[in-house]
Amino acid sequence: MMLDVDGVEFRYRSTSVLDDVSFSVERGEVLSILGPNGVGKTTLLKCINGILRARKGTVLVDEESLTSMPRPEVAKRVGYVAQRSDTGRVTVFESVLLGRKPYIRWDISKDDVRKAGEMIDRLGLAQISMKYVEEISGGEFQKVQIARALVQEPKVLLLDEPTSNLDLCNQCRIMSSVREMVRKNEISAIQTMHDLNLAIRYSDRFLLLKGGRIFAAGGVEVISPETIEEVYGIPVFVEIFRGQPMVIPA
Amino acid sequence: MAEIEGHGSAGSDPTERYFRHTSRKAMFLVACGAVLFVIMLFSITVGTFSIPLEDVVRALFGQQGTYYNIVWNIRLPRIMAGIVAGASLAVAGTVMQCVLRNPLASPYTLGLSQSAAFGAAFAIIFLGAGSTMASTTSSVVVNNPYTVTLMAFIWAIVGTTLIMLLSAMTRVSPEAMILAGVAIAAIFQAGITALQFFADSVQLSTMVYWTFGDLGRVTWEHLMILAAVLAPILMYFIYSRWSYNAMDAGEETANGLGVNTKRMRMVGMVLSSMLAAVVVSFMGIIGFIGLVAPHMTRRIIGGDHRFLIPGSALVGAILLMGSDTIARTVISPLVIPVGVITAFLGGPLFIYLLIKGYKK
Repeated sequence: MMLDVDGVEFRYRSTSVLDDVSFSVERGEVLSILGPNGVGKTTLLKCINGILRARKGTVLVDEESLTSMPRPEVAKRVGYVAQRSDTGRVTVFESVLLGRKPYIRWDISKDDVRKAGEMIDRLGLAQISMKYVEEISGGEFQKVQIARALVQEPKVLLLDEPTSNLDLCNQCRIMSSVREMVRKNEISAIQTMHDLNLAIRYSDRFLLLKGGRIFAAGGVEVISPETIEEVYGIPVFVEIFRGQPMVIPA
Repeated sequence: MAEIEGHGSAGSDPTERYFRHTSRKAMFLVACGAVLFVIMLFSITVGTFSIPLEDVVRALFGQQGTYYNIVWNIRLPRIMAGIVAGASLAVAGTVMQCVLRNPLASPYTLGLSQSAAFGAAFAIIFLGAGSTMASTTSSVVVNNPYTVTLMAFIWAIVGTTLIMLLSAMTRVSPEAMILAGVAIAAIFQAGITALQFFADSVQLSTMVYWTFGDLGRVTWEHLMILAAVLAPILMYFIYSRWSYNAMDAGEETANGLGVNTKRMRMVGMVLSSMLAAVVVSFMGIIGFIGLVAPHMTRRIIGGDHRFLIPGSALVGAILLMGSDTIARTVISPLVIPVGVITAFLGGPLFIYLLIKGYKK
């Protein structure tokens, strides 16, 4: 088991946001967290990597508890691609290289630079590696962010809405390269998604949140008209198209 | 100066291109150092009367002569003051812009210079830490630099706390934060005016002169204090350069990379306020260096703090010393307060940044 989340509870002031959330993710698996706006998907990601302190519960990566770990140590195990990120006046290469931050003592090593260079090659960013990130497209920037998180050499990759603001082509490219990297490097990925069909196509397992609790969890079988209606409050059809379920609002 | 930018050319290895890119940035730093040295030599030669360059060099190497005293006790302290204060303000501005995520931030635009000036004025008038007298060379004499610096720092921290509280309480926009800075500056300017109410007419005229910013009253002792404050803080900022790079990528990304952004912001603001406070206590309010130098440097070599921090320090030193050289020579033998020159330099840039949308 790569990641084990057990009984996580989070409160914002006196309002309960997450309540008794437990699940686990295997090596090489992509898990999608689904649910309506404000249900606590982003909060859950932030509780996993300790940006937010959970009131209760434990998070284990490879049997090690993240709760008591110093931040840089957590960053060596968990990579995080935030929903919002700033560009700043740095090049694509510098942006990816920043992923080595948790390993830096005084300054970067040649090895860090080499790893960043390899990741840039693998994600097809070599052509634009010396461009400033403020000059590249949204799809390219998203790739840069994922490259940065992968250069951290994490065991678990957290992606907060990795496909928002991307066109159809870039959505598919980003999702399939994430899946490929997860399988190749034998790590786990957890992503929050709004596009159900995209999630179905590129995830191994699903977590449906409702009111801060897990409503359903499992493989693609949990995506049914009943569960989706219950979670999102809108009636849907779930049709099989070329062997894969499709969610269509009724 | 040409912008260092390498647009992707196919075929060559990204790692190699990155190393070429960084060596160009290193060359920029070396070039800045050279420019600084040349301006420094030039600046020693010009003034109320000019000194030939070879006599300057002789005096610098310790050879006693006609010009020894002028070089070592009048011109050099002033020039060193320009270098150290310019570097301090520029570095303070660089760090403030990063940790507050606000490209308009600087000690002056956030009202921190003004709050430090209030503290220093208070110490000079009420705590007997200084005396004021009307003369062209030194208008405000700081007798007890430690008390003045301490009071300036304490009041700068008051201003900083106000800014920090504001940014913590609400998600303020960069413009709103600068407006708060304007308000803070106005409050402390009023405070300084109120202090002036208790001063006699001679003190009054010199206090007004002082708030313009002037490098002329700095002594070697003050310079030692300045350098003693700047050196360790600069070391800390350079040590933190990778954390600042992470913070430039956004709060959450930085957290995800293991950076404690709250602590970095707090420490960064306190230390950069301290830099501003020390500069203000000996030189008065010198505006815009902290805003202009980081922006110029970032345009040329980009936002990597490994190069941006030393680069800004050098550019700030060049700008302030250069401005002071202009201030000393343009209507010589009269000396314009250097704050006037830097305001003419920085004011238009500030307006330009506001209109253009200040993309970092």
